[in-house]
This record gives sequence, structure tokens and C-alpha cells, in this order.
Amino acid sequence: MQHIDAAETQCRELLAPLQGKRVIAATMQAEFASWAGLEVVRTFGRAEDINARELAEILNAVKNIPVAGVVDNYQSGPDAGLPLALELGVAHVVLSNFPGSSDDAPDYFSLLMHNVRQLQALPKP
Amino acid sequence: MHADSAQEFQREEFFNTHAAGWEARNYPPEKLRQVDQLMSSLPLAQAEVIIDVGCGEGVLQPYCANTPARMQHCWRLTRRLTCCSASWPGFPHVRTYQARAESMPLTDASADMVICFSAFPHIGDKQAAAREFYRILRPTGRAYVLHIDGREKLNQLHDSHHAVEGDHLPCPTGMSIIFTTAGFTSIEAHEGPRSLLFLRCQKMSAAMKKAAVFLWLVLLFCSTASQAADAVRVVAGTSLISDIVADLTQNRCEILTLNQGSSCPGHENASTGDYVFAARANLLLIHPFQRNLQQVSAMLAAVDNPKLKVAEVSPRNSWLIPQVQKQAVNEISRRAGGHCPRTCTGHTAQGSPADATHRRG
Repeated sequence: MQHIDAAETQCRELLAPLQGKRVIAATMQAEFASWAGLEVVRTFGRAEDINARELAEILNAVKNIPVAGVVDNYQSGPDAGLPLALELGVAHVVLSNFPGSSDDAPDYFSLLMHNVRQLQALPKP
Repeated sequence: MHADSAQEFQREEFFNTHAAGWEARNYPPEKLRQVDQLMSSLPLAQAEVIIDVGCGEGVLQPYCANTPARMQHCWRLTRRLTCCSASWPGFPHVRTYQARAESMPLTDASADMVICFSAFPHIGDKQAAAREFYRILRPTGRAYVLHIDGREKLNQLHDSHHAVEGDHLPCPTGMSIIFTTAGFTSIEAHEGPRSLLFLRCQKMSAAMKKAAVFLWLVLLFCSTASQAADAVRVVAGTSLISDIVADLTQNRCEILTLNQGSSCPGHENASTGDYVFAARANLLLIHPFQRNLQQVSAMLAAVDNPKLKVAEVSPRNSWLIPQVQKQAVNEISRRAGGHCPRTCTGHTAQGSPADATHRRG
């Protein structure tokens, strides 16, 4: 448990510059993004469920909001939010919810750090 | 002179002769870049005491120095003080010891990290060295064996010189066996795309051992007399669950992960192999959202295994969040002791009252 606490402390330090950044996130990553200190302004679903009208609605909803990036969920289709990121001209990051999704994230701790490193790609103040 | 002693003597003479200027000769800029890449992947900032085994002239020292000073006391071991000055200007926390890797003059549980970079093949008794790494590490401490040269090339190079002939770097499986036998857990040993060898392993804390023993006993209890000779088998709904079970049982049970990390749990079907495994499994651990998935319900309906205990692990929030991960660890340990009806729907798993599971320290 101490190791988990230590990992959380390390993550908090790394994520500190991103606090309050507004993002659009895949539903399955919204909770993690919020824990990371990001403000999730809109969510979207799986790649096969999202359609042009839904994308347009999201774009319309955030047109006056300075969105820093789009957070996708690897298991829901890593490119589901890519059209939004491209349209908005913002960063696109892909997080994973399960260990083993990539060679460098075989367990919980490596996956947690992998996700944090992905979020660090978001523009900082 | 005994053959091993003669080899040891030759090896010492060789390194004593070639120690001066070793770094300049063997670490051109492209190799230093590889070292840089390798070291940047280590959690150096989390360690207060780092043991650099076989430090040579100190090629790793600059990387340790870049970590926060209050966190860093980088100690060094060398067999020859001649190639490694006892005091390090600019690095007041560095101490140098002349010692064998198999018997280091350090107290038990006194280090957070052991790094053995480009030196492991030259250790005479590798098993003894691994045991020594384990002894000096604090609970949850980590050991790393790192190389930037490919194993095949390295072993060929050593065999070409009589002094270091036979100083081979074991393959990843061999390394895993050495460090597992020494007591380490969470072992990752692999050769990377450029054929470097990376081994990472972790010492279990007392709390982890307690939790592991508890879960192991629970799993053993789940197994019946007829299955006593067989390994305990756990079906894990996802890699989140199997990761925790593997940790708690120190990889001593067979685990089938229904959904590997790269796929969506709601969009997978069980394979024939999954059914065969489940038919002989002792425990099925799933997330609540999996209980009505065809993958699980069809498998339970098909396998004729009345001894299979089914348990849901209830945290519904993102398990990536550390506090939720801790809940999951506790719950998996508890649920493993429950006697759940053989159904995924509406069961009332009764967990063991022992819920003080402490994972990974």
C-alpha cells in the first residue's frame, strides 16, 4: 500500500502543472482525468458509437471554451476522439485502463505512469 | 590453484590492468546516449540509497547526482579502489566500497535500489550475488541488471579473451530463475529491441508477504483434495485483476486472464482454451460489469466445475486511481476466501473477515 501511496505522490507532482486544464475525454477515462486534476468539459463514447452529429454537438458546445486536449481511451478505440482534436487543433492523448495494453505497461504501476506521461503531453501554462 | 580461483585471479588481473581509462575507451557518445536512455527509465528519485555494483570508473554517477540531493546517497562498490577514487569531489554522499558482489559490507535492508550495470556476467557466483542484493535491499526495494550490448555479442566478446572466458550474461529466463530463487518478485527480464538486457525485480515487504501468504492459503483452501496435486487456478476477468492476483500470490498460481489489456472487456468472447482452463479452475474473479457478459455467463453455463468459486470485485470506479487500486487489492484478498454460489448473477459473496491486505508494501 505504501508503494501505491508513493506512486500517487509521484503522479501528483508530475500532474501539478496540468491542474484545471480543460479536456474532452472518453467516457471511460473521464474519472481518471478528473482525478488527474483536469476539468472534463465533455465526454464521448466508443469509436463505433460516435457519429458526425455527436461530434458536431461537442464541437459546438466547446467553441467558447479553451480546451487543452482530447483524452481517448485505448480500449474504446484509440482514435475515437481524434477528429475532435484535429478539428480543435489541440493535443490528442490516449490513455489505457488495463495493464498489458502495451509492452511498457505490463502492470498497474507502469500503466499509471504511462498514463501520466501521456497527460504530460498536454500543453502546460 | 583451484580452477575457479585461477579464473577469478585472471579476471582481477585483467580488470586491474585495463581499469584506467575504461570509460573513455568503452563509452563513446552513442553508447553514453544508450546509458542515458536506460537510466532515465529508472525511478532514481524515489531512492535514498542506491548501490552501484561493479561501478568501474563511475559511469552512472552523473545520473544519480541529478536526482534531488536529499533523496540521494549513492554508494559504490568496486573491487579495485584504484579505478574508482574513494572520495568523489562534487558528490559528497558517495561512498566507495571494495567488495565482492556476493558478500557486500552492508547491513540488511539498508538500500532502496541495486543497479548492476554491465557487470553481472563477471560475477563468479550469480545466485549468491542475487541473494546478497535481496539481503541488502529494503522491503519494496528494487534490483536492476542492465546492459546496453546484446547478450550474444557480449558473450562472444568475453569468450574471445581468456581472462573473462565463460563470463556469460544469462538469458532473460535464466535471469528470472536466478532472481526468483533469491526471493525477488515482480520480475521483468527481457531483451529490448536493441538487444539490451533489462531485469527489474522487487523485494517483498513483510506486509506483502503476509498478504501473499494469506491469499495463497485461501486459494489452497479452495482447492479440493482431488485437486491437491494440481496447481491452484484462477480465472481473472481482466488484466487489472490478474495483475493483483499475480502480485499477491507471487506468481505461484496459474492465472487465466479473460480480457487482455489490449482489448475491450465488453467485446471479447471466451475461447475453447478458456473453457478448458475454467473447467479445472478454483476461483473466478470478475468485475461487476462482467457478470452479464456472454463471455462469462456462457462459460459458466458450459463448464461443469462445481468447485469453481465465483467472486466479484466491487470497486466500480477507475482502478487506475490509486485509492481505488488499494480497495481492489483488499477486496481481491477478501473475496478469494468467499464461498460464492456458482453464478455471476446476484450472488452474495461472503468475504473473509481478514481484510488487512497490504499489497506491495
